[in-house]
Amino acid sequence: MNKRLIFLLLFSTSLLAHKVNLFITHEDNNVEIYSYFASGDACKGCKLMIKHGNDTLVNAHLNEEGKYQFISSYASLNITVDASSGHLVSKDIVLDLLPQEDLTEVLKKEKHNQYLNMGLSLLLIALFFYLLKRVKKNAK
Amino acid sequence: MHIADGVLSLEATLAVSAVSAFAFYKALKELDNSMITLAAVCSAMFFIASFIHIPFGVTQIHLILLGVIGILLGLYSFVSIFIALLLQALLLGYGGIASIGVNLFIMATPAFLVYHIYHTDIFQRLNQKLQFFLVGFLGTFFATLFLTLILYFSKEEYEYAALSIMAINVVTMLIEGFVGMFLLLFIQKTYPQILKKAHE
Repeated sequence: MNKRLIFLLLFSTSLLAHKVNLFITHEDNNVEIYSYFASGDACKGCKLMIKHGNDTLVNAHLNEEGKYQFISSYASLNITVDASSGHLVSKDIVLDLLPQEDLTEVLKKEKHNQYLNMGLSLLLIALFFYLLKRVKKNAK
Repeated sequence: MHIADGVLSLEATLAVSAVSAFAFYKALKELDNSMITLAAVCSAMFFIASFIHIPFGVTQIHLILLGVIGILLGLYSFVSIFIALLLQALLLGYGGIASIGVNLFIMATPAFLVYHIYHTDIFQRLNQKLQFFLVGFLGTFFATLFLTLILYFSKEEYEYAALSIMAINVVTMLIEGFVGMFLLLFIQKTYPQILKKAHE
Protein backbone atom coordinates (compact mmCIF):
# COMPACT_ATOMS: atom_id res chain seq x y z
CA MET A 1 0.00 0.00 0.00
CA ASN A 2 2.79 2.39 0.99
CA LYS A 3 4.80 1.48 -2.10
CA ARG A 4 1.75 2.13 -4.25
CA LEU A 5 1.27 5.53 -2.60
CA ILE A 6 4.92 6.47 -3.12
CA PHE A 7 4.69 5.38 -6.77
CA LEU A 8 1.60 7.51 -7.26
CA LEU A 9 3.27 10.51 -5.64
CA LEU A 10 6.40 10.07 -7.76
CA PHE A 11 4.36 9.56 -10.91
CA SER A 12 2.12 12.54 -10.29
CA THR A 13 5.17 14.66 -9.55
CA SER A 14 6.72 13.59 -12.84
CA LEU A 15 3.69 14.92 -14.71
CA LEU A 16 4.34 18.32 -13.28
CA ALA A 17 8.10 18.29 -13.02
CA HIS A 18 10.19 20.30 -15.37
CA LYS A 19 13.13 19.99 -17.73
CA VAL A 20 15.29 16.89 -17.19
CA ASN A 21 19.07 17.34 -17.20
CA LEU A 22 21.80 14.79 -17.73
CA PHE A 23 25.31 14.93 -16.29
CA ILE A 24 27.83 12.32 -17.41
CA THR A 25 31.39 11.78 -16.22
CA HIS A 26 33.86 8.96 -16.77
CA GLU A 27 37.12 7.67 -15.46
CA ASP A 28 38.74 5.12 -17.74
CA ASN A 29 35.78 2.95 -18.75
CA ASN A 30 33.71 3.65 -15.67
CA VAL A 31 30.81 5.90 -16.71
CA GLU A 32 28.76 7.71 -14.08
CA ILE A 33 25.37 9.14 -14.99
CA TYR A 34 23.39 11.63 -12.93
CA SER A 35 20.02 13.00 -13.97
CA TYR A 36 18.05 15.76 -12.30
CA PHE A 37 15.12 18.10 -12.87
CA ALA A 38 15.39 21.85 -13.45
CA SER A 39 14.35 22.31 -9.81
CA GLY A 40 17.57 20.49 -8.78
CA ASP A 41 15.79 17.33 -7.60
CA ALA A 42 17.30 14.01 -8.60
CA CYS A 43 15.47 11.96 -11.24
CA LYS A 44 14.77 9.15 -8.77
CA GLY A 45 14.06 5.75 -10.32
CA CYS A 46 13.84 7.20 -13.84
CA LYS A 47 14.21 4.82 -16.80
CA LEU A 48 17.67 4.62 -18.33
CA MET A 49 18.66 3.26 -21.71
CA ILE A 50 22.22 3.09 -22.96
CA LYS A 51 22.88 2.21 -26.57
CA HIS A 52 25.85 1.77 -28.83
CA GLY A 53 24.60 2.17 -32.37
CA ASN A 54 21.48 0.01 -32.55
CA ASP A 55 22.56 -2.31 -29.73
CA THR A 56 20.97 -1.76 -26.35
CA LEU A 57 23.63 -2.16 -23.67
CA VAL A 58 21.68 -1.17 -20.56
CA ASN A 59 18.00 -1.01 -19.84
CA ALA A 60 17.64 -0.10 -16.18
CA HIS A 61 16.48 2.52 -13.68
CA LEU A 62 18.46 5.26 -11.93
CA ASN A 63 18.86 4.80 -8.19
CA GLU A 64 17.29 6.91 -5.41
CA GLU A 65 19.98 9.56 -5.95
CA GLY A 66 19.23 9.76 -9.68
CA LYS A 67 22.56 8.05 -10.45
CA TYR A 68 23.81 5.01 -12.36
CA GLN A 69 27.32 3.60 -12.91
CA PHE A 70 28.51 1.13 -15.49
CA ILE A 71 31.63 -0.10 -17.22
CA SER A 72 31.60 0.62 -20.92
CA SER A 73 33.63 -1.21 -23.48
CA TYR A 74 32.56 1.26 -26.17
CA ALA A 75 33.76 4.83 -26.65
CA SER A 76 30.59 6.19 -28.27
CA LEU A 77 27.25 5.86 -26.52
CA ASN A 78 23.72 7.14 -26.65
CA ILE A 79 22.29 7.72 -23.18
CA THR A 80 18.57 8.34 -22.65
CA VAL A 81 16.81 9.09 -19.39
CA ASP A 82 13.03 8.94 -19.43
CA ALA A 83 11.25 10.50 -16.47
CA SER A 84 7.92 9.42 -18.05
CA SER A 85 5.08 11.56 -19.34
CA GLY A 86 7.13 13.25 -22.04
CA HIS A 87 10.10 14.20 -19.82
CA LEU A 88 13.03 12.79 -21.65
CA VAL A 89 16.65 13.67 -22.19
CA SER A 90 18.97 11.99 -24.65
CA LYS A 91 22.66 12.56 -25.34
CA ASP A 92 25.13 11.12 -27.84
CA ILE A 93 28.55 11.06 -26.23
CA VAL A 94 32.10 10.03 -27.00
CA LEU A 95 33.77 9.19 -23.70
CA ASP A 96 37.15 10.71 -24.51
CA LEU A 97 35.55 13.95 -25.62
CA LEU A 98 33.49 14.44 -22.46
CA PRO A 99 34.55 17.57 -20.59
CA GLN A 100 36.00 16.70 -17.19
CA GLU A 101 33.67 18.78 -15.07
CA ASP A 102 32.92 18.62 -11.40
CA LEU A 103 29.24 17.97 -10.65
CA THR A 104 29.17 20.43 -7.75
CA GLU A 105 30.67 23.12 -9.98
CA VAL A 106 28.17 22.43 -12.77
CA LEU A 107 25.22 22.54 -10.38
CA LYS A 108 26.58 25.76 -8.87
CA LYS A 109 26.92 27.26 -12.36
CA GLU A 110 23.39 26.20 -13.26
CA LYS A 111 22.03 27.71 -10.05
CA HIS A 112 23.90 30.92 -10.87
CA ASN A 113 22.43 30.93 -14.39
CA GLN A 114 19.00 30.33 -12.95
CA TYR A 115 19.33 33.44 -10.77
CA LEU A 116 20.52 35.42 -13.81
CA ASN A 117 17.54 34.20 -15.82
CA MET A 118 15.21 35.12 -12.97
CA GLY A 119 16.64 38.64 -12.96
CA LEU A 120 16.35 38.83 -16.74
CA SER A 121 12.75 37.60 -16.57
CA LEU A 122 11.80 40.27 -14.04
CA LEU A 123 13.33 42.91 -16.31
CA LEU A 124 11.41 41.52 -19.30
CA ILE A 125 8.16 41.59 -17.29
CA ALA A 126 8.77 45.27 -16.49
CA LEU A 127 9.65 45.97 -20.13
CA PHE A 128 6.56 44.21 -21.47
CA PHE A 129 4.17 46.12 -19.24
CA TYR A 130 6.00 49.39 -19.88
CA LEU A 131 5.58 48.89 -23.63
CA LEU A 132 1.96 47.82 -23.15
CA LYS A 133 1.31 51.01 -21.22
CA ARG A 134 2.85 53.11 -24.00
CA VAL A 135 0.87 51.29 -26.70
CA LYS A 136 -2.39 51.77 -24.78
CA LYS A 137 -1.59 55.43 -24.17
CA ASN A 138 -0.86 56.05 -27.85
CA ALA A 139 -3.98 54.20 -28.90
CA LYS A 140 -6.19 56.60 -26.90
CA MET B 1 1.43 23.04 -10.78
CA HIS B 2 2.91 23.49 -14.28
CA ILE B 3 2.07 20.78 -16.83
CA ALA B 4 5.06 19.99 -19.03
CA ASP B 5 4.99 19.61 -22.81
CA GLY B 6 3.92 16.22 -24.10
CA VAL B 7 1.92 15.27 -21.02
CA LEU B 8 -1.55 15.98 -22.39
CA SER B 9 -3.17 14.69 -25.54
CA LEU B 10 -3.23 17.06 -28.52
CA GLU B 11 -7.03 17.36 -28.39
CA ALA B 12 -7.06 18.35 -24.73
CA THR B 13 -4.21 20.83 -25.25
CA LEU B 14 -5.92 22.51 -28.22
CA ALA B 15 -9.35 22.71 -26.61
CA VAL B 16 -8.11 24.20 -23.33
CA SER B 17 -5.64 26.51 -25.10
CA ALA B 18 -8.44 27.93 -27.25
CA VAL B 19 -10.37 28.97 -24.14
CA SER B 20 -7.22 30.55 -22.66
CA ALA B 21 -6.42 32.39 -25.90
CA PHE B 22 -9.90 33.93 -25.98
CA ALA B 23 -9.72 35.01 -22.32
CA PHE B 24 -6.19 36.38 -22.81
CA TYR B 25 -7.27 38.40 -25.86
CA LYS B 26 -10.28 39.82 -24.00
CA ALA B 27 -8.16 40.68 -20.95
CA LEU B 28 -5.44 42.34 -23.03
CA LYS B 29 -8.03 44.38 -24.93
CA GLU B 30 -9.84 45.51 -21.79
CA LEU B 31 -6.78 46.07 -19.60
CA ASP B 32 -7.03 49.60 -18.35
CA ASN B 33 -3.96 51.81 -18.36
CA SER B 34 -4.29 52.50 -14.64
CA MET B 35 -4.13 48.76 -13.88
CA ILE B 36 -0.98 48.00 -15.89
CA THR B 37 1.46 48.70 -13.05
CA LEU B 38 -0.48 46.44 -10.69
CA ALA B 39 -0.61 43.76 -13.41
CA ALA B 40 3.19 43.99 -13.79
CA VAL B 41 3.68 43.66 -10.02
CA CYS B 42 1.35 40.64 -9.89
CA SER B 43 3.18 39.05 -12.81
CA ALA B 44 6.50 39.43 -10.99
CA MET B 45 4.93 38.18 -7.74
CA PHE B 46 3.60 35.05 -9.45
CA PHE B 47 6.97 34.47 -11.10
CA ILE B 48 8.89 34.73 -7.83
CA ALA B 49 6.32 32.81 -5.75
CA SER B 50 6.69 29.77 -8.05
CA PHE B 51 10.31 29.48 -6.90
CA ILE B 52 9.49 29.17 -3.22
CA HIS B 53 9.57 25.39 -2.89
CA ILE B 54 8.45 23.67 0.28
CA PRO B 55 9.58 20.03 0.68
CA PHE B 56 6.62 17.72 1.31
CA GLY B 57 7.29 13.99 1.53
CA VAL B 58 8.73 12.69 -1.72
CA THR B 59 7.58 15.74 -3.59
CA GLN B 60 7.78 19.55 -3.35
CA ILE B 61 5.04 22.13 -3.30
CA HIS B 62 5.33 25.76 -4.30
CA LEU B 63 3.35 28.94 -3.85
CA ILE B 64 1.32 30.43 -6.72
CA LEU B 65 -0.75 33.16 -4.98
CA LEU B 66 -3.55 32.91 -7.54
CA GLY B 67 -6.27 34.05 -5.15
CA VAL B 68 -4.36 37.20 -4.21
CA ILE B 69 -3.63 38.00 -7.87
CA GLY B 70 -7.28 37.24 -8.66
CA ILE B 71 -8.83 39.76 -6.29
CA LEU B 72 -6.32 42.41 -7.37
CA LEU B 73 -6.71 41.91 -11.13
CA GLY B 74 -9.84 39.89 -11.98
CA LEU B 75 -9.87 39.07 -15.72
CA TYR B 76 -6.54 40.88 -16.20
CA SER B 77 -4.91 37.97 -14.33
CA PHE B 78 -4.77 36.26 -17.74
CA VAL B 79 -2.29 38.86 -19.02
CA SER B 80 -0.24 38.91 -15.85
CA ILE B 81 0.02 35.16 -15.48
CA PHE B 82 0.63 34.56 -19.20
CA ILE B 83 3.76 36.75 -19.24
CA ALA B 84 5.15 35.01 -16.14
CA LEU B 85 4.38 31.53 -17.56
CA LEU B 86 5.96 32.41 -20.91
CA LEU B 87 9.20 33.54 -19.28
CA GLN B 88 9.25 30.55 -16.93
CA ALA B 89 8.91 28.22 -19.93
CA LEU B 90 11.44 30.02 -22.12
CA LEU B 91 14.16 30.82 -19.63
CA LEU B 92 13.79 28.31 -16.83
CA GLY B 93 12.28 25.20 -18.36
CA TYR B 94 9.16 25.34 -16.17
CA GLY B 95 6.09 24.00 -17.97
CA GLY B 96 6.54 24.32 -21.72
CA ILE B 97 5.61 26.39 -24.75
CA ALA B 98 3.14 23.87 -26.20
CA SER B 99 1.36 23.53 -22.86
CA ILE B 100 1.32 27.25 -22.04
CA GLY B 101 -2.36 27.60 -22.95
CA VAL B 102 -3.29 24.76 -20.60
CA ASN B 103 -1.13 26.15 -17.80
CA LEU B 104 -2.68 29.59 -18.33
CA PHE B 105 -6.15 28.08 -18.01
CA ILE B 106 -5.20 26.16 -14.86
CA MET B 107 -3.66 29.24 -13.18
CA ALA B 108 -5.63 32.23 -14.45
CA THR B 109 -9.18 30.85 -14.44
CA PRO B 110 -9.06 30.25 -10.65
CA ALA B 111 -7.85 33.83 -10.16
CA PHE B 112 -10.78 35.09 -12.21
CA LEU B 113 -13.22 32.86 -10.30
CA VAL B 114 -11.89 33.98 -6.90
CA TYR B 115 -12.34 37.62 -8.00
CA HIS B 116 -16.04 36.99 -8.59
CA ILE B 117 -16.55 34.91 -5.47
CA TYR B 118 -14.81 37.63 -3.41
CA HIS B 119 -17.29 40.21 -4.64
CA THR B 120 -20.42 38.23 -3.75
CA ASP B 121 -22.56 39.48 -0.86
CA ILE B 122 -22.21 36.21 1.07
CA PHE B 123 -18.44 36.40 0.92
CA GLN B 124 -18.36 40.05 1.94
CA ARG B 125 -20.37 39.21 5.08
CA LEU B 126 -17.61 36.91 6.36
CA ASN B 127 -14.96 37.90 8.89
CA GLN B 128 -12.15 39.66 7.01
CA LYS B 129 -9.40 37.27 8.08
CA LEU B 130 -11.53 34.35 6.95
CA GLN B 131 -12.22 36.14 3.65
CA PHE B 132 -8.51 36.59 2.99
CA PHE B 133 -7.74 33.01 4.03
CA LEU B 134 -10.39 31.71 1.64
CA VAL B 135 -9.01 33.89 -1.16
CA GLY B 136 -5.66 32.10 -0.90
CA PHE B 137 -7.22 28.70 -0.29
CA LEU B 138 -9.74 28.83 -3.13
CA GLY B 139 -7.19 30.04 -5.69
CA THR B 140 -5.15 26.89 -5.20
CA PHE B 141 -8.22 24.71 -4.77
CA PHE B 142 -9.62 25.68 -8.19
CA ALA B 143 -6.20 25.41 -9.84
CA THR B 144 -5.77 21.89 -8.44
CA LEU B 145 -9.32 20.97 -9.41
CA PHE B 146 -8.81 22.09 -13.02
CA LEU B 147 -5.44 20.35 -13.18
CA THR B 148 -6.96 17.15 -11.83
CA LEU B 149 -9.91 17.25 -14.24
CA ILE B 150 -7.72 18.01 -17.28
CA LEU B 151 -5.35 15.15 -16.45
CA TYR B 152 -8.19 12.79 -15.58
CA PHE B 153 -10.01 13.30 -18.87
CA SER B 154 -6.90 13.64 -21.02
CA LYS B 155 -5.44 10.14 -20.82
CA GLU B 156 -6.62 7.02 -19.04
CA GLU B 157 -3.15 6.39 -17.58
CA TYR B 158 -3.35 9.65 -15.59
CA GLU B 159 -6.53 8.81 -13.66
CA TYR B 160 -4.81 7.74 -10.43
CA ALA B 161 -2.07 10.34 -10.75
CA ALA B 162 -4.69 13.06 -11.13
CA LEU B 163 -6.40 12.00 -7.91
CA SER B 164 -3.11 11.89 -6.02
CA ILE B 165 -2.33 15.45 -7.17
CA MET B 166 -5.56 16.57 -5.51
CA ALA B 167 -4.51 14.84 -2.27
CA ILE B 168 -0.97 16.33 -2.30
CA ASN B 169 -2.27 19.84 -2.85
CA VAL B 170 -4.58 19.93 0.17
CA VAL B 171 -1.52 21.04 2.15
CA THR B 172 -0.67 23.64 -0.50
CA MET B 173 -4.21 25.02 -0.27
CA LEU B 174 -3.89 25.49 3.49
CA ILE B 175 -0.44 27.09 3.18
CA GLU B 176 -1.70 29.38 0.41
CA GLY B 177 -4.67 30.26 2.60
CA PHE B 178 -2.45 31.46 5.44
CA VAL B 179 0.10 33.17 3.13
CA GLY B 180 -2.75 34.90 1.27
CA MET B 181 -4.33 36.00 4.53
CA PHE B 182 -1.12 37.55 5.91
CA LEU B 183 -0.23 39.10 2.55
CA LEU B 184 -3.64 40.71 2.09
CA LEU B 185 -3.74 41.93 5.71
CA PHE B 186 -0.31 43.47 5.11
CA ILE B 187 -1.47 45.10 1.86
CA GLN B 188 -4.59 46.41 3.55
CA LYS B 189 -2.56 47.89 6.40
CA THR B 190 0.24 49.42 4.34
CA TYR B 191 -1.21 50.05 0.86
CA PRO B 192 -5.01 50.04 1.28
CA GLN B 193 -5.36 52.01 -1.98
CA ILE B 194 -4.26 48.89 -3.94
CA LEU B 195 -7.17 46.89 -2.60
CA LYS B 196 -9.55 49.81 -3.10
CA LYS B 197 -8.34 50.22 -6.68
CA ALA B 198 -8.99 46.56 -7.30
CA HIS B 199 -12.55 47.02 -6.05
CA GLU B 200 -13.33 49.92 -8.40
